[in-house]
Amino acid sequence: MGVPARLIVCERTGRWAVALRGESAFAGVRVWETRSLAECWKLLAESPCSFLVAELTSANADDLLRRLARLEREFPGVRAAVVARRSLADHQWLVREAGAIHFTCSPRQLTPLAEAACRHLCQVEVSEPALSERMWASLPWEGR
Amino acid sequence: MPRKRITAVELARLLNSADRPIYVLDDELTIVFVNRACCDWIGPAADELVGLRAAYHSDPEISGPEAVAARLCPPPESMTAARSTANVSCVGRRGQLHYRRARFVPIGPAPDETIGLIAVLDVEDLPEPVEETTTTLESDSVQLHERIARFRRETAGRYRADRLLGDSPAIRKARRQIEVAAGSRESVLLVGPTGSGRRHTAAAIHYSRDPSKVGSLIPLACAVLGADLIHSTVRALRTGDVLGKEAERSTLLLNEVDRLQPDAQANLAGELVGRSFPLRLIATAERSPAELASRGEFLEDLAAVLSTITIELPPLAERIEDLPLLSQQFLEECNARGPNQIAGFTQEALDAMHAYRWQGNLDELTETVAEAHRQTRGPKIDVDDLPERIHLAADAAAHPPREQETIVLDQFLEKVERELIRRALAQAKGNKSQAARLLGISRARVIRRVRQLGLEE
Repeated sequence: MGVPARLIVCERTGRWAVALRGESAFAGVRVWETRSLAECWKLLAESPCSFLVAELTSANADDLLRRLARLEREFPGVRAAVVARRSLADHQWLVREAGAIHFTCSPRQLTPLAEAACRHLCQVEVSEPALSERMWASLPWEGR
Repeated sequence: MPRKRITAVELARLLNSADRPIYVLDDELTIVFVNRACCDWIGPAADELVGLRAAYHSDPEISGPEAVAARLCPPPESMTAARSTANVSCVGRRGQLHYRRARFVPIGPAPDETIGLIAVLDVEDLPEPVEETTTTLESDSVQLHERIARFRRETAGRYRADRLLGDSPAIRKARRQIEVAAGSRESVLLVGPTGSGRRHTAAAIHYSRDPSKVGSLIPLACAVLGADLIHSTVRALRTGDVLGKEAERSTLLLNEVDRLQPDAQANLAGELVGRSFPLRLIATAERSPAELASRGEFLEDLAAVLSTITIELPPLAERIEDLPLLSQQFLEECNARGPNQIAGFTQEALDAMHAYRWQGNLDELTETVAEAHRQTRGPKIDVDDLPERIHLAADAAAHPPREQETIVLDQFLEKVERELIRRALAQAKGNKSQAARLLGISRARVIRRVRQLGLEE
C-alpha cells in the first residue's frame, strides 16, 4: 500500500485549502494541494486510501464527474467530497450521485466535511511498522 | 501495351467497391482507412472514424464514434499473426448489437515487424443475437440537465454487468435476487465483505431502469458522516425539499449502515420507521443489522425497515471459478484507459491468482490486475508480471504471525546513537563543533563517542 492516507485538496486557487487548514479538526494534519485533477489522481495512486476534497468548476465539471464515478473502482479506499462556488450549487445531487460523500458551497461551513475527513483518515488501516522501524523513521536529519 | 499504374485514390476506389467491410489500422491501432461497405455496416462516415483508436476493450462508458472504433478492436495477438480471426461488432439502429467475423492480416516489412493490420469482415452478420441496449440521448438546452442525462446513460452502461459477472452458483443466486430487487420498490439490504461489490450492486439495482426514467442515487457514507449531517440530509429528502417529484424515482443509498453510531441510528429511525419515505432505500453492510440487533447493537425497527429484501454478496474466495472472467473484465478496463494493450493472462498467472486468498475481494483483484497491466510488456500477463504479494501468498499463509517484538535496549540505543552522530557529522560536513551543537553535547564527547563507536573514517 505504501504511502499512508493523505488529505488532498484539488482546486485552482488555494482558498479552500486555506479554509480547511482553519478547521480545528485538521490541527496537525498536512493538506496536500494540487491544481489539476490529473495531478491529483497521481497523488491518489501513491496513497489510495486518501480523502479528497475537489473543487467543482464549470470548466472541470464533466471531467470531475467522470473521475468521481470511476473513483470507487480505481481507488476503492478513497473518499471524496466536493466544494464549489455558490453558482454551481445545483450540481449538488449530481455530484453526490457520482460518488461524493459531501458537497458544500461555503468555506465557512466546512466543519462537517472536516469531521468526515478526519473520521476517514482515522479509520484507514495502515500497515503498522515495527516499533524499532517507527523509532528509526523518526530520527532527525537525512539518513544514508 | 503500357502497364496500368494504380494510385492511392484508385486503390481506395477499388476497396470502396468491395461488398465486404474492410478497414485498416496502423501499429498503434489507429484507424487509417474504412471502406464504404464497412461504413454502411457500422454507421458513422469514414472521416469520423479515421484517426480514432480501436483499443482492445469493452468499456461501456464511451460513446459516439469512439465507441464504434472500440468495437472494431482486434485482439492484440493479431498484430503478431498469432491470431488471425475474431468477432467485431456494431450497434444497430434499434440499439441491438450485430457481430461479424473479421479476418486480420498483419502488414509489415518482416513477419516480426508489423506496421499495420488489414481487417476483412464477412458479408453477413453472425446469427447469434446479443444483448439489447437502451441508450437514447435526450437533448436539453440546460447544461446541467445534459450532464445529468449523459452521466446516467454512461452510468447505466457501466453498472450493467461488470462485477456481477460469473457463473458460480453464489453469484448466479445473487443476480437472480438483484433482478427481483430491481423490479420492485422494496428496501434492499446488501450484505457482504468489503470489496465484494456492494456499492456497485446497489448502483446496478438503481440504474436498472430506463436511464431516462432514473432519478438520483444519493449515497450517504454512514461510517464517516456525522449523525447531524446524516439526519439533516435524510430529513431534507423525506420532506421533498431537495428532489421534488424526482424523489419517487430516486434512491437513498446508506453505505456501511452497520457502522452507524447509536445516535445516528436513533435519528435515522426517527425519519424512516413508521413514516412514508419517498425515496427507495438501499443499504450496504458487512454485518447483518438484524444480527447486530439481536445482540442489542442495532435498532431492531431500523434493521427491519432496511432489509425487506436481503441479498448476500459472496467473497471472491467463494466464487473463485469466476476469477478468469472477472480478471479479463478488469484487464479490458485497463486496456481502455491507455496505450498498453494486453490480451489476457497466461495459465500460470491464473493458477497463481487462484491460489491467492483475495481478502480484499473484487477491489483487490481490480488493483492487482491494474498493477500487472502496468508491468506487462508481453501480449499476456504472465506470473512474473503479478505483484509480489501474489507470489508470496503461499509462503505467508504457511508462516505464523509475527511474535511479540523485543529489543535489547543497550544495543538499540547504541545503534541509534551511532546513527545520530553519523547523521549530525554528515549534516555538519564533518565539523565536530557544529555536530556537537546539533546533538546538544560537548565537542569532546562527540570526539570520544566517535572513537568508541568506531565512526572514524
